[in-house]
Amino acid sequence: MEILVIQVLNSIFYAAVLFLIAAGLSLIYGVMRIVNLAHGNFFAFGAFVSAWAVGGLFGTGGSGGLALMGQLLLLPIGAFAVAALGAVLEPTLLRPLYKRPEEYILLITFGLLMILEDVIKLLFGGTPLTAGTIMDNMGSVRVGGLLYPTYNLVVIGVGIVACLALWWFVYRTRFGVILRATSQDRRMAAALGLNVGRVYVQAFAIGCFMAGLGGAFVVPAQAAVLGMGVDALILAFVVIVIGGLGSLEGALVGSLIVSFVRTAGIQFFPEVELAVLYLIAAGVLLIRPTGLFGRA
Amino acid sequence: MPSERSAPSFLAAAVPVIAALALLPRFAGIYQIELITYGLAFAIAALGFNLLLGYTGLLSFGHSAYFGTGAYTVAFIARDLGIHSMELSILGALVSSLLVSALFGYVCVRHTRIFFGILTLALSQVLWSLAFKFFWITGGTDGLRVPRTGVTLLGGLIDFKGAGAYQRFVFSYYYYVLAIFVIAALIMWVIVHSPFGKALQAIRDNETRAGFVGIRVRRYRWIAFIISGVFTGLAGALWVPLNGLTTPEVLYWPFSGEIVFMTVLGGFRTFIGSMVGALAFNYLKVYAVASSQYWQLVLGSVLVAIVLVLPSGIVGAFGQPPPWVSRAAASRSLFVRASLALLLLLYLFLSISQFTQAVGLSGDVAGIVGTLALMAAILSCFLLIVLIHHRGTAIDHGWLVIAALLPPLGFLVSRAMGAPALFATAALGASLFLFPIALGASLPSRKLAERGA
Repeated sequence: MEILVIQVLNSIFYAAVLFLIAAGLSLIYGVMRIVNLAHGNFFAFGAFVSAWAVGGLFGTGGSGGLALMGQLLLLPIGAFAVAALGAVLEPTLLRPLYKRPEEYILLITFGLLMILEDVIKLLFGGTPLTAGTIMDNMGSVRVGGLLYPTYNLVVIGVGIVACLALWWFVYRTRFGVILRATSQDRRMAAALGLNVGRVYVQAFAIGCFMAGLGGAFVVPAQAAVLGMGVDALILAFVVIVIGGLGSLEGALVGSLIVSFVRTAGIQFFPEVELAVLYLIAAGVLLIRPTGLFGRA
Repeated sequence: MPSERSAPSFLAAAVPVIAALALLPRFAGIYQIELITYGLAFAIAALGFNLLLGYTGLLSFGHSAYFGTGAYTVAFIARDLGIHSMELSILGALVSSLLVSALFGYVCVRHTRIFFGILTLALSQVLWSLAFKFFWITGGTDGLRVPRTGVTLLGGLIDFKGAGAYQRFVFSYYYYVLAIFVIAALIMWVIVHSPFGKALQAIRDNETRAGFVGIRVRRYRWIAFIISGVFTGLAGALWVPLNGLTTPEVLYWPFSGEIVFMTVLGGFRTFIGSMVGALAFNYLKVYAVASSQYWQLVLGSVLVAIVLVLPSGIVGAFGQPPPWVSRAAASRSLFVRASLALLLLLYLFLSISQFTQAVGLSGDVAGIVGTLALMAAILSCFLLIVLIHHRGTAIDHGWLVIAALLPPLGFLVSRAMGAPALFATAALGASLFLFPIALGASLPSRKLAERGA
């Protein structure tokens, strides 16, 4: 029973991280119709920046309440770094290509993926970085007779807050209306006097921010390693394919499905755990190409 | 548009190339031969891939699946059946990649555009995760070995055991792959120029109209998918003995990205583009990996640069100029300015790389900067050639060509002399001196204008 609870908690923890990545990917696709292959590396970049900042400023020491507060406050710096990166990359690299066939955008994001992979290696070195002190300092809670790290619960909380904030942002603010209008009809939005170029930069930066946030909050629990972006991207793809490209509800449901299937898979059918996920994605595409929540 | 050439002119163009490739082992070293063999194998894969991208208009991001299927089939046949004949292995690889691509293709061709891409990606990842996880069958990340000594060519006539086996393998395998490559390219040429190939192009250009003309769109796409997969599988089979090993890496999706990269580098709107791209990409990757541990940065930058300034690829740039080239070539002053800007780029990059060497800056950053600078220099040289080609007045702009080619030559000489610091400075001065000459390149064109040409 306790193991079941822990596995459920693990799944939700995993879903929270996956949601942050996939929601950014989905937002970017929804507004700009860009499949951003470099998105996983934005996630990795956020993870590295946060781990570097926390590790660099606090070292491995720094126990005590105040240090912990400082570390937690410093943690989201990776998300802001990635958002800034996205705000620079969209106008310089992506904007010249909007008039061309979509293959080119896909290719340029693939090039960006390769570049970012090595930029991370160049800036932070090839060794894994971790902000594990945060996790150590927060201790653990009792779940029945077993221990569960408190930090994982924090991440779950961050995931829920991010989900609510994004929902509020997209459906309840003026900017959200502009965002949705642009995603439905770019030309009409431009004709009505919206600055579509600015909306695109903002949407891309927000999408990048989400990926960076995922990276920043995963790094106290798992070390930031090279290649984590490529692996994360494929899972985020599976999530938004199941949920529907461009749909935020879809990203939420998709990340829950993927993480529960994955947790169950590791428990019961470890050999085909990944294959099952890809097959689910392929199956959804076949039966309902717009995904569970996507629009036509 | 893919180039519309008649069969005789195609053969006339192909024969010298094939003859040159056949004579190559007389001149090139064993390492070069091996590199070109790799390149030819990838060229077959790119040829197959381009039937989908260039001729049918479908961007697959999962062609690693068929390459890997071919590769693993050869490895399984060698290990489990104990068959070492390459012909039988290739036959097996053709059958297995036919089956896999028929199955995957049947599913994938129900969609187009981005959904098609993601579906091919997801299905290829199924194969990757199976190869990755079922390590007792596939060897997991260790992969499967296919040793050179375990392969025989031409039904057992040639084997590679005993002394000097490595040299014999490289040379005979080069001719083996070359022969298969020529056959494969001929078959593909016939396919894309057949009524079936024309139907594919019609589907690419307008799916609805093609349907109304009576083309069974989905069926045709499926057949194109299968042909494409089989070509890629054949490439995978040929690649294995060369590499000696097959790992899940060739099934992982970044390898699919590399196949796309090759095709776009060469130009996917021409028939020979994909093959040129595969050979060029192979050299590029080998060079980048050898010169810097940050080779992905180099390759990624090249891809970004190609997409931005040369979207029609190496070969396509001569047939169909990129928009900025045609704009520059149409206007005289813009042409001069564009040429000068490119020369300035060339000059800047060469001086950057020479500067890092002369100052003695070492380490990773210097390596990356030097490699990127060389790539940029090659690219700006190439762009100048493209610009001049579309200008149609290559002779009148001979000075521009000389100005473009002299600086790298000077640097090569300085490197060969073994005195980089001294000669670097001299070469920088020389290339500075070249700018007035490049400016003078506008004079002949003015003379041309007076003549009313």
